[in-house]
Amino acid sequence: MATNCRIKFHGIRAFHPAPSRKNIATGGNTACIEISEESSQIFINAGFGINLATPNWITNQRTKKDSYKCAILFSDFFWDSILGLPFFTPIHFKSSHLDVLSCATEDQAREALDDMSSNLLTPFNGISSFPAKISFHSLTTPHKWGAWTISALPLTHPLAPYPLAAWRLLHPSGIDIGIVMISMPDSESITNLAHFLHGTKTLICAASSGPKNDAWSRHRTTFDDALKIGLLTGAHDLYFTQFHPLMTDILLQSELRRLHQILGRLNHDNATPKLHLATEVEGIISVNSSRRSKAG
Amino acid sequence: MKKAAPAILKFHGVRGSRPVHTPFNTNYGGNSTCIEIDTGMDYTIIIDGGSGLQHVINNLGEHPQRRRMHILVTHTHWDHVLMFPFLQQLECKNFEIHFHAPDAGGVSFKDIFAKLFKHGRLPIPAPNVQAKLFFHKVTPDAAFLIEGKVKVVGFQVNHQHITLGYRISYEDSIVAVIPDIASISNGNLLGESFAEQAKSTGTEAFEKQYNDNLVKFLKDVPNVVFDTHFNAQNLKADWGHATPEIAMDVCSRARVKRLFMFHHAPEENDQDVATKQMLAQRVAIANDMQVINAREEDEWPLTAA
Repeated sequence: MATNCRIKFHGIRAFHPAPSRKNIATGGNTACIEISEESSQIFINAGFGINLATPNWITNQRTKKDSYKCAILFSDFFWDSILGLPFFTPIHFKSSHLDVLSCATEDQAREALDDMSSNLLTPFNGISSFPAKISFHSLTTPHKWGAWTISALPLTHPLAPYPLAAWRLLHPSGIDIGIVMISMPDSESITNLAHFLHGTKTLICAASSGPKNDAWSRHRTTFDDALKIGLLTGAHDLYFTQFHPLMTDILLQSELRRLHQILGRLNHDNATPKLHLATEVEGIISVNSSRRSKAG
Repeated sequence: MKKAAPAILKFHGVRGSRPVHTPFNTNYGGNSTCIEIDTGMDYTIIIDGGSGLQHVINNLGEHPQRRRMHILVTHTHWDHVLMFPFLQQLECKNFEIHFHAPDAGGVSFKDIFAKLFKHGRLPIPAPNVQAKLFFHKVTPDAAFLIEGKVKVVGFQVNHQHITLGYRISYEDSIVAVIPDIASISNGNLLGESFAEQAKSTGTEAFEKQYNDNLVKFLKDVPNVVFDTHFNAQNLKADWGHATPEIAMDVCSRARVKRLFMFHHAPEENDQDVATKQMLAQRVAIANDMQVINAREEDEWPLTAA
């Protein structure tokens, strides 16, 4: 079955937004990835990048009156993964239905989205004050959503009292996408992730190390960790994302060059995984079961 | 006695509602609200802690003699507070941070500030706070001195909860910052207790009194930074924001010399913002007023214009 799937990085920053001229080539919005195919739209996290998906939504929905449905997969409920949601246009329409998936319990997920949309911090009054229908799903087993089968690996993290999630999305056409937006950089976490994502073709992995080994970076996977996971899973393509706000275009390019050198030294004849920096500006990446291409 | 050099108005974040990064807005910048008033003294004065505050954080090493920071908070919506948990100065020894802020919905700023650091929401390890923190409650119409030299006067503007505009004077340098503000016309009463006040005086009388007081607050202030989030075509009054037309009307009545338009909508690209200034300048020139777009990292000496 031939199916085209599109991946768009709307937000590639971790911690906080970093709009800057120094980040023009990569981007400055906080986490959001859109994965869509003909009949479905899935978002990974709802950082400020999710607002960049809104123009597409307006174009598509204004012409047809039917209801809108999407899934939002939350890897975590840190501010940088949730603060964009009040500005995501569909949430303001009764005809919208948002499925919220995470490894946290429904109460934990609701509490997070209530915190985000608190009356003290926004003009809204908690997640239930938005007109859209929002359903919460706490994943313990693989979940069918449209044609996709979505699996989650619960992850513990010292900064969260709830389980975080790594994701694997499988489509009947053979499309297989693994996503790690946050994880501790210890060897046990990396081994677990590699096991969960083994055989995935397209891997999107956090590389949140900063220019210095600061306290922020010590709780996140680095570029080297991401490469390690990519090698262990046997992924064909590895997209680095969740960049530290201080990692400018130049520093990110330099990291990519360094990793290419490491990969070269490891003498991988087939040169996989192919390494890419996720960027907000590059356009949509098309993935189908037999080939991959980048469309500008 | 030698006069002090004029204070410098520094824009670190000029975007409203939320930070936004696109290749098409990098001229004016995508960071949310943060303004600095640099008096050249050994302390820093900041207005709001939107994502633009990262410029102040990243420049921490530039002024090692500055060991005190005064942060005037206009209100606690995300675009004005989201960088506070990342303020690295919190971890500086022998450093003082003074927050001057109104309550919101009966909750103190100190309590709201604490919520920003909630376990499970903060994407970084909780800072090891070594700086001395001071929380000063600012009430509407409050007047106080910073460091005994900088006079600050507050004014409650028409926006959710208690949102304060600030008039700041340091020697001959005077600037007023009017953050998120909506027209109060037609019963659009958004500010905390505005509806109750209107009930007792009558809506029309309250609106007139508010508008007169706003003009009085800005009277002859040479430099005013004013919310121009919307334009006449896309104005949603109940969202709590103004337009260039509203800003110019208020400022021309107050005989303001230089109007800085800021809180640019995240949807506006550089071309939109530039056009906004061009259209506004045509009207403002008749009122002997200069209209300038606030732009990230621009600096303006606070002369009498």
